[in-house]
Amino acid sequence: MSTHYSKAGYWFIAPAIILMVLILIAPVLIAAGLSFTDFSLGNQSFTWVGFENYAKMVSRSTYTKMLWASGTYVLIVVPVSIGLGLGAALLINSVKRFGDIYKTIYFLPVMAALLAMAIVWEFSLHPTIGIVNKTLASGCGGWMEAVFSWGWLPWVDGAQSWYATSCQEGFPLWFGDKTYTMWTICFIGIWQAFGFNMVLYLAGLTSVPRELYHAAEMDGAVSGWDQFRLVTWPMLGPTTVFVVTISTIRSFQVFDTVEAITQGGPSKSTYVMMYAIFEKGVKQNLIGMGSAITVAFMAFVLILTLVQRHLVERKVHYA
Amino acid sequence: MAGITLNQIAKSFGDTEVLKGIDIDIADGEFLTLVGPSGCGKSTLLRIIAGLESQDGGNVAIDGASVNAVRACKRDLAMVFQSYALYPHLTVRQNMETPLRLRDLNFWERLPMLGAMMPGRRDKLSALNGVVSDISETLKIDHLLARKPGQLSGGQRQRVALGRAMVRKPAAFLMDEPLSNLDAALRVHMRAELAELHRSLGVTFVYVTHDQAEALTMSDRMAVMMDGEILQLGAPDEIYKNPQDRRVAEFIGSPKINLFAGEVDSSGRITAFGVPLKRRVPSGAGKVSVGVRPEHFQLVEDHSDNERWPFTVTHKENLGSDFFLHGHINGSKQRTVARATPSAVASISIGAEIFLRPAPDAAMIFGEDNRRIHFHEGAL
Repeated sequence: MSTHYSKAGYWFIAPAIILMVLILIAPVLIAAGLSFTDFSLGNQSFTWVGFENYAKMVSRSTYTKMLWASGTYVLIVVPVSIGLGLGAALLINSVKRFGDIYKTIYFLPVMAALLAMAIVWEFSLHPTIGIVNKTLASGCGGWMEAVFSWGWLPWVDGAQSWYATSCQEGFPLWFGDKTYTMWTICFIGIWQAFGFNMVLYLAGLTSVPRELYHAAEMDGAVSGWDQFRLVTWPMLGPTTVFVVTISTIRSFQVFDTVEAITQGGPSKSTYVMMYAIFEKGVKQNLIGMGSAITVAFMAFVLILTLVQRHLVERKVHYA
Repeated sequence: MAGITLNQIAKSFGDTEVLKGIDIDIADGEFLTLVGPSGCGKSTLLRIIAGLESQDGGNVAIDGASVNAVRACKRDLAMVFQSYALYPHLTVRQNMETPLRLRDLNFWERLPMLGAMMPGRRDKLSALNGVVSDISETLKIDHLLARKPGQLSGGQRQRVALGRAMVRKPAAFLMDEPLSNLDAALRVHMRAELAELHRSLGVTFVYVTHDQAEALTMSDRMAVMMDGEILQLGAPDEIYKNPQDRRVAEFIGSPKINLFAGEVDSSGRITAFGVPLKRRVPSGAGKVSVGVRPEHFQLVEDHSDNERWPFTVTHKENLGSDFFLHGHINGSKQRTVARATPSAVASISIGAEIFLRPAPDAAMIFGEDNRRIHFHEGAL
């Protein structure tokens, strides 16, 4: 073998490298650099502030609330939307008819612009003119209250139930009451995300070899649960890794609903990271702080992805 | 251990009739092969026996008891699949344990964490561990137990699939083309090994293949299937020597039997390529096919004999122990193959004109309806 290598190879990869540096790596490095400054757009100069921005993030209650809000959102939306997505995929896979109709229905929220849908939800959940509260209120005293106050269960006092008390004291302000807002935002997030997970799982299910189910049947896996544990779930391993990673990243990125409906409120209960970046970096022109949150955001996503890879790689079988 | 009885099994997929009333009686401990070209319905029949597919009509009975309403896993049968269908995420040991775990452990004992706390689970596990170890020793895969199927060769996977079928000591084994994913040498080797395994287990084997060599070498009896029907059922020797249908004669035997157009006159004399044969058949058959297997041709040196066909050699195939002579009889377009010993063909070069005749009694006559027409008893 000759020890002389042509340098022509570098010319071939140069466009890709240059583009990657320009639009991916450089902005990240600039953001990381700016996070140690108090820079604002339009200012001539800036001063280095060291770790001050990061110190604020752990000490100031606004930012601890931000971390709580993002954490809660991810921890609720990810498992629930994956569970629902898998469940819907399994159900659709098992029906012989109307499968395509269900697929379309569940996938519609994914295709729709979340910002527009957020406005629709805002109207639906409006405390006085919204369809949800109106429907709930119209059920007061009727069969709906009787059923959903759970008073017919022997161990439940119907009069103390959520429905009964709400009928007395009014139905919640879904986006105005601190106790409900995060849950409502999570609900919209799940509603929007699970169709996507369902489609990914449906794709995963088609790649499970039919013969494995037959083998499982011959081996005595009688119940659906046994077949699921022996064949379906392990075979969906690679899909699950992908779905979990994607869902987590997308949940960390939630912004549209918060911006359109709550603007991070009430009292910062829905102040998620993406919204914080937007508020600090864009609205208030505190580029330094915005960059610090961005870097923290990136670190979270990176750590999560690495942990997942490490935990899951050993367990998951790639055929 | 059990015999399997099939009675008028019928199955259609949409408008296509795949099985048209199959009757077979499989004796206890028998090695029965279902052989036929792809699409003949043999795999469907096997899956109906297994219970993975339900028949449209007819009866499946195991040990005399009808199992039409019995689920696949309750029929006490084990199946080896063409793709082996091993669980790719489980080790060889876990793969082989699976049928035993599902049978011997209850729902609670199989739960991931909770199961470990169940009393009696440990004894059951060590019992089934022992079974897996025994079987893996028999199959010589004990050194592979910790590996996953992805790390095994085709032959090793094949053994693991066999092992998974064996651990439960089922009433019968069903095998769906288990050797077709192996390379040629290994296939020949596994043929012998499977036949030995059958002998030592003494359990009923129902074996599906499209390879007539597998059927001939391994089975006690074979059923030749075509277009959803069993054309002939019998011992391999009988099927080969005495096919009752033209399609059977064509399918079994390699190289294929040579079939020539022939004619039967009013006295029952058969003429092919203008040469009358010595043996006669009942008259009135009209157009027939005369079948001669390659090994049933004789080279004719005695030019006084009338029963001989002129043959132009176009190709010589050397198999070491034998030669196959390819050529054309009497200038026809049809390619004919004849087997000869190396010493006999030494002097024959390509392009040579020689004479062939069928060995006495070896020609087979088939009518236009594909049925075999037997010779008259006694010569001439």
